[in-house]
Amino acid sequence: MTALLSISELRIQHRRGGTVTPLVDGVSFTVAAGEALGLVGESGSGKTLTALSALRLLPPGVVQTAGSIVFAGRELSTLDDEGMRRLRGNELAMIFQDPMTSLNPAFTIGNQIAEAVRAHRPGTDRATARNRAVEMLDLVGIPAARARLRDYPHAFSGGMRQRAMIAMALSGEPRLLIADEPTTALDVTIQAQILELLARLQQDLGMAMIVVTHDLGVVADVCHRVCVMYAGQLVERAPVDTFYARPRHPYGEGLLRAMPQSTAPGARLRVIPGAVPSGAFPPGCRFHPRCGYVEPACTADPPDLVDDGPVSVRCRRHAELRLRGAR
Amino acid sequence: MLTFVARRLAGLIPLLFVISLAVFSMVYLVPGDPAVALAGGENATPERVLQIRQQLGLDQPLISQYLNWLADVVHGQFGSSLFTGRTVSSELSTRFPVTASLILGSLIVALLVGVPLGLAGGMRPGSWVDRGVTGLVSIGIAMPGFWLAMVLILVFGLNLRWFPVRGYTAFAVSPTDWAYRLVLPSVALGTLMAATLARQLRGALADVLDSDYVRTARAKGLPARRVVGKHALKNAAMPAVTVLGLQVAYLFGGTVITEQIFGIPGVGTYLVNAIIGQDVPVIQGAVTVLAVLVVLVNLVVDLTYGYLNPKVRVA
Repeated sequence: MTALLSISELRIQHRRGGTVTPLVDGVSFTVAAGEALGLVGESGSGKTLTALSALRLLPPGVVQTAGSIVFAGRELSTLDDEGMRRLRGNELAMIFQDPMTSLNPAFTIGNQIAEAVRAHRPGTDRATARNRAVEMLDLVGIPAARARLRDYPHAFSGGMRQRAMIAMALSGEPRLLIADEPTTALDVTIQAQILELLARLQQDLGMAMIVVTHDLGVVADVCHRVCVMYAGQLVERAPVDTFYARPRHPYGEGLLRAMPQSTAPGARLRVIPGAVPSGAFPPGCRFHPRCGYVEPACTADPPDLVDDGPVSVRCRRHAELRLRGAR
Repeated sequence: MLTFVARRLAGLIPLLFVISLAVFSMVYLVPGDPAVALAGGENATPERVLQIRQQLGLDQPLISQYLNWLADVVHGQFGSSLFTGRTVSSELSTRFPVTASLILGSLIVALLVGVPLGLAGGMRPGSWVDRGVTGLVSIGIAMPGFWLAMVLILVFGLNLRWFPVRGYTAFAVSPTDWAYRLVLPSVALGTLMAATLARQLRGALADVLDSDYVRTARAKGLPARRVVGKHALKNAAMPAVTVLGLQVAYLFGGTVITEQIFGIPGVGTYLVNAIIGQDVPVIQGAVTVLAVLVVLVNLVVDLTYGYLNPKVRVA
């Protein structure tokens, strides 16, 4: 399979005044057409920034300093602004974490979707764009879609707003949809609905999808492959089934065992002790201060990402360790 | 939106009632007895005082005094000045357009200067442009209006002789002269407004540009001018409109100093003279008109909110 999106050796830094903080440090992965990839890790691991960099929507002060992002044969990191604008919301779309703040409160839902349609099809008249908006709202399961076009976002619940966001993102028939924590801000009951919707649309429309999340349950439901990020690096990249059955990196094991589902009822929830380092990374393996399998050698040399069958892993003990997966 | 407007209008009725009560009770809140003062001070004969009381209706029960007064006010009659004898309504009708012209001029200055500065600063927070804007704004806010007025007169009036120094020409007499003579006073009065407006707009725009929905607009592939011009501006306008409304409302009573310096016969001067002379009918008339104007300005601000933020319409 040829890659639709290919990110290699991506580096992202925060620059303010004279201080430079590395945020993403040499991340590489590919997404094939029609494939769903999960990008997981704790807050601060750099997963959202990696996703944002694909649309060149990094926040002010945060810059991509190295690496390449190739989408459908085009290098995005050197593409001009107009070329990037034509891609966004068209072939390459994104939905965000908080649907409550991601829609503009001052314009109607219909206006905001129709606007996305017209942005990439100049000359589309208003009526056609509105019809397309109705079609999209229908597709994402909003009842009485035509009547809801005139509603403002405040009249929509969180789940409906995320559906509207998805409708907006899909209106350009993207080849790749990036979903940044699409269910984190929603009620648990709504989360499942939105996930089911995303998984169904991804298959029906045959588009590729990157799901950024810290919820491994989401990845299991929706994704084919998973990339685990820690402290700005990729530590494990594997097919989802392989990863759940037998993670190769201690951090992957920690994440799986920290899922509430993998704890017996009544037992204490398991955690990974400590927190993701920010600013200065520890020497050697960046995970070693929190790792249960740490050896003296782990603190000295930073391990490389190496291939082990279908899996790539960044741990010098990956061959000898037999880590436990999810139940 | 229509029901929203109707609701806001209905909400004005109790407010106007309270204003009328407050203004009416001024007669009794002002220290001293106006009848005694009119009759010639402490040496007045009791007969003369009584006569004046009857003339002014001060001997009637309070409630009928209020109702009579209110009936007059509704018909635009505020009585006559205790000293000059001229009716308050005729005096206000010649002076009000003067002050309104001055406020209009300063509003134009505020918009022409404040909006571009606020946009330039808010678009790129932290840039050198932004720092320049912030500096200008600080100067504009810190500068006392009367000082600025005098500097303007000195530089542009006396030294360069570009503008006349004092006086006012009615629009009906000569529109060009009207505009020409209003330039310096409008700049003097509008600078503070421009600075406050720029500061609010800059802050609001910087915040809004950082918001999730602006990122969504970018992610949709909208061109930058549409992201800012449509998605950001409509939301950033709220605080700017608030400040502008407050400033305009304040100016209706706060133009005194500028009017005095530039020799403009407006409402401010009239009101201050009346207060010094305890000229109660004049104070009542001027305060009523000003209060109603402030209420109307607030109404306009409220309705603008409703347009800018659909959520307000529901509340």
